[in-house]
Amino acid sequence: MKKKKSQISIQFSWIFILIAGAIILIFFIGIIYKQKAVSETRLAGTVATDLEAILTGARISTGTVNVIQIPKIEATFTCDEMGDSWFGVDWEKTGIKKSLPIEVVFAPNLIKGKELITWALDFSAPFKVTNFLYLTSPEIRYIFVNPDEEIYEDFPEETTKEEVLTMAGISDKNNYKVKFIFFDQAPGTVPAPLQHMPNKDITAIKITGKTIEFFEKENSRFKSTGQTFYITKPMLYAAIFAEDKIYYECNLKKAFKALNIVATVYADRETTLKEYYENNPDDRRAYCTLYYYEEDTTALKQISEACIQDMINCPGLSDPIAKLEHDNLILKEHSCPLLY
Amino acid sequence: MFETIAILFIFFIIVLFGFIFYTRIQKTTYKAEQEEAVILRAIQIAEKASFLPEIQCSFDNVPVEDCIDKYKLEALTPIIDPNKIYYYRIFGDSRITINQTYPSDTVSWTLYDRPKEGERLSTQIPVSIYNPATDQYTFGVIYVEVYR
Repeated sequence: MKKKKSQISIQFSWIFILIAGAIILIFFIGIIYKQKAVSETRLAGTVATDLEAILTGARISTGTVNVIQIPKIEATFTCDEMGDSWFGVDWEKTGIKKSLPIEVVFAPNLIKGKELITWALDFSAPFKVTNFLYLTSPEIRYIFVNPDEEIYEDFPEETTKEEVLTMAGISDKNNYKVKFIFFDQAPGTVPAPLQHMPNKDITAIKITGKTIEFFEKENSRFKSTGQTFYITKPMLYAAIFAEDKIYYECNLKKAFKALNIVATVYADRETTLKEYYENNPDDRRAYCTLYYYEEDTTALKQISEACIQDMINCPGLSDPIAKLEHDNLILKEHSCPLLY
Repeated sequence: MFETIAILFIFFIIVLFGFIFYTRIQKTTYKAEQEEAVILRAIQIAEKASFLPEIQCSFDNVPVEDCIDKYKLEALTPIIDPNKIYYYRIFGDSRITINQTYPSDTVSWTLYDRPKEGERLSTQIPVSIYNPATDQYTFGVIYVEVYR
């Protein structure tokens, strides 16, 4: 009887040990998972803050290309028709995102990998307005088909770019995104080795004169997603880096908003200069008052305002820009204070 | 069995102490990171202020560092308020003033002013102030005060 009792007691002890052990394990595994999620969110937050600082610095140092080592993260960039612009770090997992309400950043919608390439160019119209910041990854492939040599040569060497004459012979190099840039020719079919890639990961643009047409892959062909325009070379590069037409135009709107403000400043500055020389006829440069044509800066201000309302008005910017360049040249020839 | 329960009880007490200690360390680290973020933001705002195309000097579209065009500054100051949402996104809760220090220190411009209760971090950037009409330079300082 006693032996039977002790046998049952031992069994119950073991059951108790198993249950207690399981509870302890579950407790610690739970802590580990919670801590992992917290650490990932914290890392994403730190990377987002540091990336924001990098973007600020990169915007200031124009003309340079920087390759920045980053933790292995996925950065998402968005700018939609409503003007909602932001970037996120491992966004779907952590929800961490930073707003980009005025920063003009052209990037693919997803950048992943251990390196981030940044390139900044001045956007001038004709005076400096803001900096365009281009972002990409070495894991994104840019294929220029029969390109303009100058445009190809100026495209950063640090990117994965290649120049081809035709689409024949293009192979799959295991890039997660591919962008085709066509010059004065229709995109045609997607090269066979790349047809297995998801539709969203292969995009193209076609440049004809001052018009840019965006395309996305639809099975084996390229489907047009709309046409837009460019005025200056930085805008052309913007179309190459931008994910699609919506992203491109959304960021351009930010640039044109900045243009409107800067144009207003320059218009007022020109008026002040003219008035100074009119009120100081004894000044050695009083003759300069003849060379300030306020209507050109005013025209730029008005058209940029119309352009913000509707992008269809934007190609009209070319005319006042050209006139202001001419005006500045005249002022330079007469040793007068320049417009810009 | 009661011994086992007692051991388990003490074990969980020790784990609890460890957890409290870890949480306190995390709090301190978090505060330090917050402080660093505030300082980083202050530096970013100061950088943006000194490189603002709206006021930076330029000659034939070549920008000149550490130089502010007086006429552009005077033209921009009244434009800031109608575009306060735009500039709030650049400067946030801060105050940016430009003071001329030489030859005279009586001239001052408040470019942006959006104060907030609380501590502030101050940065000073020496600059030249250029008058395009007279083609003369004066010395000045940009004061950037960022509120926490």
